[in-house]
Amino acid sequence: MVNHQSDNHWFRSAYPELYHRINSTTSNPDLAVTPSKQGDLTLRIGNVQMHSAYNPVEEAERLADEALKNAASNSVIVVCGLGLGYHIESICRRFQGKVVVVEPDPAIVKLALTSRDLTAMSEAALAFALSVTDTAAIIERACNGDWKRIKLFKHHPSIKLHPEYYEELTRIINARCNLDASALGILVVTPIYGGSLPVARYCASAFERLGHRVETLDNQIYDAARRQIDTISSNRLHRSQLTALLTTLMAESITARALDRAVDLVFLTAQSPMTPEVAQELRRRRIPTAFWFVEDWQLFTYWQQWAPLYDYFFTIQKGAFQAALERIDVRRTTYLPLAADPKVHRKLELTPEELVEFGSDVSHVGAGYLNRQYVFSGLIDLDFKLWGNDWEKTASIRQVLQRDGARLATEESVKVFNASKININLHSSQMHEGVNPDGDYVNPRTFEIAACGGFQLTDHRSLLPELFEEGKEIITFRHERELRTLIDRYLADPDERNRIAELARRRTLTEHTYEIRMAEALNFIYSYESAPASRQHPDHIDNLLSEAKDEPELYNLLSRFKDRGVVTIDDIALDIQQRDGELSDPESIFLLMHEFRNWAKEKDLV
Amino acid sequence: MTLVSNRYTTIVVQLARLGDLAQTWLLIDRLKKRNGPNATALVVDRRLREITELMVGKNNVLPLPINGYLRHTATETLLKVWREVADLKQILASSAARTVINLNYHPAIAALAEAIPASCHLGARWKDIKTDQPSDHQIRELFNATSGLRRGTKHLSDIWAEYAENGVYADPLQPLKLPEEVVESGRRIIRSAGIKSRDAPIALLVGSGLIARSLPVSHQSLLTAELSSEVPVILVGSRQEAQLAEDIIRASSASSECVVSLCGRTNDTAVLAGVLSCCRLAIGVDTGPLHLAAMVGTDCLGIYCGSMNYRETGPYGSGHVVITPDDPDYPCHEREMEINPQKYTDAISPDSIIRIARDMLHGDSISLAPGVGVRVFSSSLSFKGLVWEDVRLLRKPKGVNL
Repeated sequence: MVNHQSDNHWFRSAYPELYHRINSTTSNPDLAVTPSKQGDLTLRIGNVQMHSAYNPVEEAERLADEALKNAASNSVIVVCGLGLGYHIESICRRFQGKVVVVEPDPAIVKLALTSRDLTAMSEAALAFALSVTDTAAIIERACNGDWKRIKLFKHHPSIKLHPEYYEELTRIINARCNLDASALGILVVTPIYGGSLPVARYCASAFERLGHRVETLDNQIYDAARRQIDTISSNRLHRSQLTALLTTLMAESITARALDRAVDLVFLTAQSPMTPEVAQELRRRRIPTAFWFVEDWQLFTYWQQWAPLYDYFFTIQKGAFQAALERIDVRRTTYLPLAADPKVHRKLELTPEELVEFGSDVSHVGAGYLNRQYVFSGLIDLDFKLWGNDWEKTASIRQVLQRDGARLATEESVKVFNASKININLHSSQMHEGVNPDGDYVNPRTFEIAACGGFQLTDHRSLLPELFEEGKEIITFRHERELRTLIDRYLADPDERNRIAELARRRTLTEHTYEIRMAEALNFIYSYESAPASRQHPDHIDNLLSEAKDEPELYNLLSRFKDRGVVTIDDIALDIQQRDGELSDPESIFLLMHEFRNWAKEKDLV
Repeated sequence: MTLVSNRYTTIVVQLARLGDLAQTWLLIDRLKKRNGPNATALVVDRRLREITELMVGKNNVLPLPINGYLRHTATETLLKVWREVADLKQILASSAARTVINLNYHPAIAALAEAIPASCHLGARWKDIKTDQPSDHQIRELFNATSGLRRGTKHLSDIWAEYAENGVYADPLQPLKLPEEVVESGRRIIRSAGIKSRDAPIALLVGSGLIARSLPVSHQSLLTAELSSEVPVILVGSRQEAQLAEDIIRASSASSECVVSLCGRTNDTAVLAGVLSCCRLAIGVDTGPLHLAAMVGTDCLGIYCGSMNYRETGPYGSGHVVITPDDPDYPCHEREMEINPQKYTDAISPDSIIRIARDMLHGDSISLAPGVGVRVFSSSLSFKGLVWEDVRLLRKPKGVNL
């Protein structure tokens, strides 16, 4: 029985749209409002007793004590769960700072608003019946982006009703808190060669642009050694043993570098070198590892052995792959599609000579997979240029293949994307003679062409529609005949091509850059991780600044290293030596200290 | 950890090891004579505090825990070390002098020396060392002498003396006179170790600092066996060399009344100086105790083979003798000696050392025959400094059967 005590006018006038939405919600028959022993209303939902059946007001005071324990005046109290609002009333009455109330269930909000006078919470920010992301945005506004001010209070009966919602919200808040300080130290480990090598480099640049301290172990320098091993012996076993030794060298370098630079995270992409021993050693030293598996899980099955060794595992496919990972107990995994790097993949002003060299009506940049070989053999009557390596040089392919099938450098690919009227983006397959009807992941070229402002026709992929709006931002084909029709149509309509390409470019720059992906990856990682490992290091810049706050000259000197993570005496000495002018007293002390450090190294004391 | 006042005319920074410190005695002695007994201070490694106090006076030593600072750079937090170094700098800054002489060609020590306010800084400057372009030609020589090249012809003490009185030796060098209680403590240690004879013993300096410089146990045991039949022998070294000394004694089969090991019992450098001052002769390779013995006026027989160049670092003073291989390739580079130490430490036969030691004990002229592959030099001081005289070996030495 609902006892209408108030219609809460303040709510209707402050949140008219939300009021109507809540009002139109169907009431939940499981919500049972009854008088408590003491007389105030109490609420029970199914088996969950939301408030005390004896004295909800007294209980609310106790909950408010808990919520306000250690709260500072500038704290933002985020209350997870509304119930009938007793605890929130108590918190709002006793706390002068900001309060955010979160309740995802519109039926509970409706019931609370119609059952009790909630005027006491009229000054609070309300995140009612919103997605987790929208709720996080409200919290961010409430704390002005200073997530360290957030103090989370969980109304446990409410959490029981929507555990997944609150778990996700908690993870987002944790991630923001953990990332809301100075930069992380990230070690990016690249593969020796292959398609994921540039991806690793784009990730490193993205981390840097996000303001993190990035160390890159670029293993391309070992490519010559890898090729040399292939020529050393005809014995396959010997070759594989030598390759294992090379892998061990590269992997052990990860630990050495990670420890030397006190990094917070080791980030690897597909084919980056690693050994189980190094992965375990990093875990033992509490340095989290993240691996971006930018491969097709059904073609490359090494993930089965390797995914459990990493702390975080990102994939470009989801659904069945995520389920398969869960089966081998890989839980901290999420879908992370590929992206473009706008510093590399961008619109260019090409010279007339470049337009002649790289331009054509139709083009494709990529390697000669089976399905492409078939499809492109049927396009040779067009002004078609085929760029890339590993093509079977049949008579028809030879007619369109550029540079005799040499691999194209990234900057040249960008010129082709810019200069072509239509870029054909056919995802590779060795199993099909045309479009792979079951193709799911979206390749990097999709984003790269889009970021360049190039127009593309791409084969349909099941994961494409959530990245680009088909028909509006991107045009897709499902078979060769359709491709041919679309080529004819869009060659004849340059304005439409440009309009679609521009929409795709905008979408890419706002949603599909490596910066955005890496920010998502870090949010995911730091929703699980506690504060980054280096933050606990006494020589982390935050700790140094805090320790030096009463010594202005020293503080100013150290302030030069904000966002540098763990600072070493070598960093400081280098900085001082690069400056002109008289040495300040703290600078001269650091230089003397640096000499001591070098001396200690000479004597093997370090 | 401060110097007592700002009264100093000169502060000498010597943060190297015992041998280098002992070799600066000439410089210290001249400065004390010229400016007065309390006008010179020494900045040294804390482990050498006791002997330094004997050299310049108790209150004129700034002993720095250098190894502590160095270790802390590896183990302590950045700001903790910074504060330690800031304190050190403050101490140095409060220790003003007219002249600061830095005797180490090392950037850290130069930076530290330059933190002491002075109107004149002599020796290696921090900037010079960083650019490896010493503006001071003396320091260039000093650097060459200590860089392992071992081709110098000038003694370190002469270079340092330049700073004291422009290279002119007005007075002969007097050994450091130890207080009677220090000498007595040395005597006590020797007696308590079991030496019954009242004869002053020979000190055999068993250690070497660098393993490559060590004389083989067989050589040292032969020396011990032969010499202990005439005079008591004490084996001197660090705690780490105690086992080596035991091996030498065991192999020598000498009586425990004639040979004792003091290894590990003379870690206090003043006590070590007291012990050495009670000896008639100190025998050993180029080590700290050898230079300490020379500083306190005990005759030294230096065994200089391989990279040990007596012209640069031979025992300083009058009446010392060094024995070297008769080899045109002597002295070699330090690295060569590290690679093949035995080649060099075997180059001088124990018989030659025994013969010269006996001559020195008896006050005889050196009676070694030529053709045994060694050369012998004896030291004297002229007004120009240290002179090494090539001792001409006799074809038919009297009563010697080598």
